[in-house]
Amino acid sequence: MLQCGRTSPATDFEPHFLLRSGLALKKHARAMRRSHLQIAATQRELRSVVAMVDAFCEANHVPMRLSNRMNLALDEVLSNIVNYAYSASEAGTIDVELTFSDNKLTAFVEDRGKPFDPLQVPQNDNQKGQLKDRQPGGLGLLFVKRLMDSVSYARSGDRNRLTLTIHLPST
Amino acid sequence: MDIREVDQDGVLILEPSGNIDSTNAKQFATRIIEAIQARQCGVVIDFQKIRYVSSAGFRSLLIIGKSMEDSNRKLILCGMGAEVRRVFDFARFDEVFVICSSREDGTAQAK
Repeated sequence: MLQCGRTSPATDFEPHFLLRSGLALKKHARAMRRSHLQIAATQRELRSVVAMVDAFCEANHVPMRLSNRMNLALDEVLSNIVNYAYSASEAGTIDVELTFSDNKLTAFVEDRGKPFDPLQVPQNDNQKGQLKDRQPGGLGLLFVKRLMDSVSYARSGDRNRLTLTIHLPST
Repeated sequence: MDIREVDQDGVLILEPSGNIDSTNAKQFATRIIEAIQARQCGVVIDFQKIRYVSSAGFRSLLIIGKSMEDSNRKLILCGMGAEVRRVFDFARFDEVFVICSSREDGTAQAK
């Protein structure tokens, strides 16, 4: 089997496999175009997402002010999933995938919790005035909407899938 | 979370660093309130080493602000970079706290 690539006509499978892995390696050497992490849906695990975003953005030369924006938005989205998506008895997970292409930094966030479209939550209007007039809450989604260039939600099978995108200024 | 404490001109200056998010916001509030309760003077929180503050951090700031208001003391925020300041403006927290650009201004106002 080891010599078969050299001495026999290649099978259909092998060249494709070699081509694909070769390309993947080449791309990886230049920059990570894609990064994926699955975490348990717990507060403690969110730190590993921050580390992934920082490393991914650095490898792709995304300016720190934009990686900070993505980290802030992900903190809102992920802490919401940690607090509300799963019942206490469920051992839920969250998948976070980052991609970078066409000058766009995108995060895909998936969970298998109860269906929830954060974009349908009405934005309450009480966030103004002095300290005595303020109640906690309601800011997270506002930040996500203001900081991202686009946000979209889809329910796919048993999964909530949220897509967050930042467009980089063209150079 | 690392929070540096400096006494300057009778004002307590607190300088946290890193990010303030859902993983450390409670710890941030506890640490700041402990430092505040150990003194009787005005307080400045300097944000120059803060990368970003998520809504969990804003919740902590409300708790810290109420604690200062209850004891009738001044709390001033300062040193925010443009990105951090932008988020404070989204939250309209310039209506909640006095926000100064420099530490010097903040210290003068907290006296």
